[in-house]
Amino acid sequence: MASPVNPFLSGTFNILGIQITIPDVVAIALGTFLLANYIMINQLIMPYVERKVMARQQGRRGPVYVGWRGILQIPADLLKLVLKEDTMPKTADSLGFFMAIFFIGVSSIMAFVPLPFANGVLGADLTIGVLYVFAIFSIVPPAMFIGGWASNSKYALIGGFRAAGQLLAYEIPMFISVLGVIAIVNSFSLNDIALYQMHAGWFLFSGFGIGGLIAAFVFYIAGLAETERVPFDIPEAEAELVMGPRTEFSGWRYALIMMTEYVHLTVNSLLFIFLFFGGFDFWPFGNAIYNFNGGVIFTWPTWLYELRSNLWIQFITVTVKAYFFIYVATTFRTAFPRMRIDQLLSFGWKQLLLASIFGSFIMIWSTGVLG
Amino acid sequence: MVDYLLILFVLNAIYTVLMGIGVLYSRTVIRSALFLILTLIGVANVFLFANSEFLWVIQLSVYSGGIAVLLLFAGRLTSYTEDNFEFFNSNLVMPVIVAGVLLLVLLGTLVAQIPASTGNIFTTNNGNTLLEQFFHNIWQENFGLAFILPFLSALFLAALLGSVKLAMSDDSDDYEEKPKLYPEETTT
Amino acid sequence: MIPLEYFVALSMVLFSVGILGILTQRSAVRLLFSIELILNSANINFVAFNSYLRSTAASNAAVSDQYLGWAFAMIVVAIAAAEAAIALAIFISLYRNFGEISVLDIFSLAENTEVD
Repeated sequence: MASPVNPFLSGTFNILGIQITIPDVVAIALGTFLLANYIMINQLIMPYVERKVMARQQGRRGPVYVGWRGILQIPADLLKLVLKEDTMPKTADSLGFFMAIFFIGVSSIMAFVPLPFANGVLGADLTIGVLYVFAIFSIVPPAMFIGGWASNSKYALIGGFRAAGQLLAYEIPMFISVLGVIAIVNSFSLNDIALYQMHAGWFLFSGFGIGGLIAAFVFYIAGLAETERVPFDIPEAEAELVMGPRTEFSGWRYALIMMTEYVHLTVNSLLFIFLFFGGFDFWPFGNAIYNFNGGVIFTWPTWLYELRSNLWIQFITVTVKAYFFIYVATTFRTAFPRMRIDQLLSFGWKQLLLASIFGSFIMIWSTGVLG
Repeated sequence: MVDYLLILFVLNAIYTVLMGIGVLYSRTVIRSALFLILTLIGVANVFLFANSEFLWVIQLSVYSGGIAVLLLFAGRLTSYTEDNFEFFNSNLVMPVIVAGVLLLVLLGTLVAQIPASTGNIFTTNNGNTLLEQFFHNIWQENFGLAFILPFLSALFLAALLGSVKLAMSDDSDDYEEKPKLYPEETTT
Repeated sequence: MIPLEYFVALSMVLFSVGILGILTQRSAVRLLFSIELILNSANINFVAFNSYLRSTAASNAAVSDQYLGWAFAMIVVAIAAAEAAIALAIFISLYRNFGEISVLDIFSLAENTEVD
């Protein structure tokens, strides 16, 4: 479980004449720190992109005043929120009120460890890769529930119940839709999964052109529900529940929660990119075109392969893809009405679960792993 | 050379035990569920120290993600009024202290029986480890390891169906004044 | 590598905390929490001994044998999940019938005797 940052740091210290071995824990923390900072800076731009795109789709102009075309709107909002008074309801449970924020904030930062931004550039290449992100995010439903309960407000409590039920209902189809990818690659590491897709083509088109599509569809829908985006924003249904479990949070707590929502959206988009959309590879068709027996029909030119192997191009590819999926989520937000809670739960447990099992099975079957 | 892993382990162990005590002596049930989640996270980290990262995932996503929500619902859906039971003034305190000391002595002597962590402490006569022999004879040959997951799935499904049946309300007993949706006599 | 004794000692203390909870708590929900603590202490032992055996004695054993402790830990987790679901159902129907879930106040077969 050595971190890729470790050789870099050791080399730097060797140049200075210091022989030092950095513990893996420190190296992983540093690598995660750098990558997470990159993401967090992007977090200041993503809400701006969302607001601008949504405004254009609705025939408005969006933020215009702060900075060039309103690009500084989000940092200004954050500054205002941090400087605001931090209020807490008198009857609130102080421990739960604090711990909910703590869980939600920390889990969103911790999720960046196994996400690569180019081939080998990641916090730590964990053996449990994808499962790590799932495990970290599964802390969120109880945290939401506790936050809603601790606020001692009826809106927050109902929202907490809804959030916990919804997140549980969508975790299981999400797990199962990933199963096919993991069984084919035979590794949990996102870096390995992306490298496999560089070789054999995106998983979106695998499984006779159907299985990958079904699995990707289920994963994306479940991801939208996990991040509580429209059309699945039932816990914070604005017209009914004010803000759901987040109703009583104000000031820096609200700022942290809003940031966390976008971080969740980003992590889900990145997972989707790495599992089904080729990760850091912009070319969907792999190194060559294969027939069903694995024989090569046609090989793509070598300059294309070298272009795809360039670390900087991979880095830019990941960023562009992430922004593309922010755009898609924004379009969903403009286009779709909200579902009802019972529709949502039955959709998750009855339809999506079946679809995810079918998709994963077709994916595994098509590659002949089953024999 | 400081063994920082050992320091981390001891810190995590202290954290786990403190949170475990918090489960028992917190004011409300939901708070105690919150402490239980924190304890479960501590136990998951103990699994990491034992090189079992897959179980870390299982513990976090199933235990503190799924089961904890069930427990939170159990605490919230039954609005339990906290009793004023004062443990330290009741006549339970002496038996509990005696039982606790006895338990600690018993378990402590068991732990002290473990020799220094070198070599195999479980070797039996024929060279197999005791655990291995046990599992070979009783578990693997009779049931087969491959049946664990299907067995667990069937068990869990049965438990869920049973709990749904249990929790469904008998409409006749409790809610007699509930208006009938479809009245039987519509002739008048 | 961390010595085995540390794991066993932690498991011992956590087990004792769980037993203490079962002896002193009156709310059924908290009794369930104490049982979860005890299950977790057992899990620590399974995993620690499995890791220990994997690193020392059974390194030449088959792969399925090297992870038997994990299998048992998973059984414990699944049993705990089933138990939590059933307990939630039992608590809800108890609450519906008695209006409370303090285990000392729920009598249906016995006379209402004072227990302390």
